[in-house]
Amino acid sequence: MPTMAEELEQTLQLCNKCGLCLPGCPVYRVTGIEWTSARGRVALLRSALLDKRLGLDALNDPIFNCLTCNGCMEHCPPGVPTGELIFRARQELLRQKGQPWLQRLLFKKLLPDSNLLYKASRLLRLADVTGLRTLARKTGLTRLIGDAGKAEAMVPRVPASEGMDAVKRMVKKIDKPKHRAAYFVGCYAPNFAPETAAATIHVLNKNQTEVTVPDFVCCGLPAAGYGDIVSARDMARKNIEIASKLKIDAIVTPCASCSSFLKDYVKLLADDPEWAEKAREFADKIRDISEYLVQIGLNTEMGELKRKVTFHDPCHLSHYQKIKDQPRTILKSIPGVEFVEMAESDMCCGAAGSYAFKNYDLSQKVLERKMGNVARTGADTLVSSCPACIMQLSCGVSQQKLPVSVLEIVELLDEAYRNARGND
Amino acid sequence: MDNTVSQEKQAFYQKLGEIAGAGNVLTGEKATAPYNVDGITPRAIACPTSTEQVTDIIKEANKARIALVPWGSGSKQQIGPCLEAADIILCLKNMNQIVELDASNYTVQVQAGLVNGELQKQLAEKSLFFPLDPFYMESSTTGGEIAANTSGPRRIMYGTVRDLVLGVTAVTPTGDIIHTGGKTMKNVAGIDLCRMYIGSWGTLGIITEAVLRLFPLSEASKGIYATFASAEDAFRTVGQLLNSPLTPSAIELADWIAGRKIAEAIGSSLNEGEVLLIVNSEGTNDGVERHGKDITSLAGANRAKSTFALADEKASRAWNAYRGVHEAMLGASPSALQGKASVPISKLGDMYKEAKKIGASQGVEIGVTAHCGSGILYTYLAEEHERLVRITDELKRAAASLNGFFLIESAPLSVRKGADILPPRNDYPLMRRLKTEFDPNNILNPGRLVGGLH
Repeated sequence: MPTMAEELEQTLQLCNKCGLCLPGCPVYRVTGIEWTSARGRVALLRSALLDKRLGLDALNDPIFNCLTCNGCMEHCPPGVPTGELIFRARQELLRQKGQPWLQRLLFKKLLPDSNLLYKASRLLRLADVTGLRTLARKTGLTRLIGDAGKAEAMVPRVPASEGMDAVKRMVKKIDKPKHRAAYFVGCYAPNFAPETAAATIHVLNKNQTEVTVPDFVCCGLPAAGYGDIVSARDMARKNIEIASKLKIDAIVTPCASCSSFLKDYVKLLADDPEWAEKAREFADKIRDISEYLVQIGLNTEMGELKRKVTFHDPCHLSHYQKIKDQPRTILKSIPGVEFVEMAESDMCCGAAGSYAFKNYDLSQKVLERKMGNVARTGADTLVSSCPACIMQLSCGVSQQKLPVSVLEIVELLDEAYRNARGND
Repeated sequence: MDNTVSQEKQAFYQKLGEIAGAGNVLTGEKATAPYNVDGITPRAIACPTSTEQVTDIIKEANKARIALVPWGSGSKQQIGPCLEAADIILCLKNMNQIVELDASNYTVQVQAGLVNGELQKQLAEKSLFFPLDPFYMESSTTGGEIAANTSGPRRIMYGTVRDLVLGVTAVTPTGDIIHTGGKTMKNVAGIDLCRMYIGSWGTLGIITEAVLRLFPLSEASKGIYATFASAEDAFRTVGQLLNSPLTPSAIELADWIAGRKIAEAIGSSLNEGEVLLIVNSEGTNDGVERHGKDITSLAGANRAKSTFALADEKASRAWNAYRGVHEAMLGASPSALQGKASVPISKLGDMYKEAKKIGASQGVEIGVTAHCGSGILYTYLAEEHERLVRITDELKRAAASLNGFFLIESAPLSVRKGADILPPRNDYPLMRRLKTEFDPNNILNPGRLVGGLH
């Protein structure tokens, strides 16, 4: 087995320290501190792994306060994959330091089991309805747990949802379907945003796609993000196995992070001879919702929406999957919508999965910059396509008291289809 | 004695925080390791917020004999002769404001830490731009651009730093603030000290502010991308273009090795031996239209294989690919070297041929790009140390025989430490005396210029 240093030597040496990445790094943009930039992080990893000047354990902050948004790569001529390097370093830190119990619980028990995850989300709901959460806030309990406590306000009120079972009940038979797709629901929608799930199914149906909702588990990205590649691979194998039994043309999801990581199963399982080929076949079927709708030819029989709309590019959509045109094509084809581009539309919003909970202050600064750009457009509707972005952006809009509604792209489309004349 | 020095240094590090404010001085390995230059990790990073603070830091540094390294965005720190010492990085990132934008006089006064890309954004709101376009412009700072005398493809139309910087405020290595030049187009009395700071690589002072020349934004722009089966055809096109009434804003060339990604961006490809010529034009709609037509037919008359006229997003994608070639070629291998030949404009085709001949005889692939309007040719190669030195020696001889010179810009540290990376000249002793006069204690970027100006 090559050491991590041997494995990464060539990649680390790709960086010439030119600094072209700096304007693309959202964290550097708000801190101005070199070690929080892509170039700085790569230099530190080089110093630790190749020159042995620093211990990797001294690099906890630079390794964990990277958003892994890949904004740097858009500006990097040699293509230094800083996000991948950071993921790899997190794996190594996990190996050296071990995994905290909460992460073990989350990545090994809850996320690989949609049923258990649902039960856990009901505990949160219980805290909401019994007033426990309010009590925790008032007594200052949330402040005791540091950044995660400060970010507690970002966790949406947990709706009365019945998890995956409820999503499955939303599925309808449609007349003469042209396409068959599996809906990869992900962890967020069934537990926190059933309306997104309903919109997704309705929009797919309106585009002559018959939908099935298999019992997929978490895509594995949260685990991989914390360096737990073993759990991520386990979840990947589970999902591939489930998909192999389906007769479908595509696996569609409105969550940019899910689609991005599902496509990455190819890399994740590349060294596993039994699964590499299956992973490729699986990944070939994965489509982000906008990518899918534009590819099959969007149904434009919609009603008018009087909205001024701007779009925030989720990093996992624009930087990871290079999907930038499709959401715009969709938004511009909704009658009545005035589309307006915001500055730095593909700059991370600071959500980055659970980043906001671990690095609250940094995340807020990144969010403030984003909100400034949103406000300058004068849009009344901010659209994106990723639950983490939506949660973060909603929080930003309410903090800044902007007269802007924040919607998933499927929700806006759903509204347009419902407004169509002669709609059922 | 050593003990005294270290006590003085200790006192300096304490004062640094008092001068710049504790929050603007970074220490500790996590903060300093990314600023490692030429194998040296500095003790601290100081980010002053005013010219006065820079002065105070320099005065204290003189007392304690502290080596200061001025830093903008750091894009050129890996270039040129190696530093002998680097105690403190003096980073100007906090001095990044426009001091005065005088649109009616087409000038802007800026703090030296302002990033070119940011400046352009603010100027564009007033329909103005600053024509200096080094490859690093999205991250390079005004101070760094002046100190490194860096320019880009547009130099053929707008000139270089010398033509675009009207005035400089600098703190000398002994801590005096000097204002040279100014807002007027003609502003020199006596020796032109403003220009002395251009290309001084942070050895003669720290530039803290500058006055820059501005131009109104063009109405239109277009890029013609032409591929040629032979370099001779491309250089003949260049010769005829330069000898025509046309006024292109860039004439750039990349061979099949360096130009692969650009060719991909325009939906084409380059076979072995082929080159890509890029000619940009900007100005009025009519003018750009005429340039596009004439340049396309000129390329055709010189047997271009294919020609693409690009505007808007396609043009910017291809242009970005060209602008990224330098870093992409260097990143491709840890043993990559980038050298720069400067020859009379008419000899550029000959230099190209020489570079290819040397590559063939040494059995090494040499990638080439060129600013054709300025007689500058960049070579990229990756090899082990000894061979890099031997091959660059040949390139130096070839450039000299064409009445030009060749210098090594980026190279592995061992090569930059060992080889003569700058061309031989007879004015280095005079430059050394100048450096000593300005910087008697040799505290600013010691070693950075001409074989160590000290």
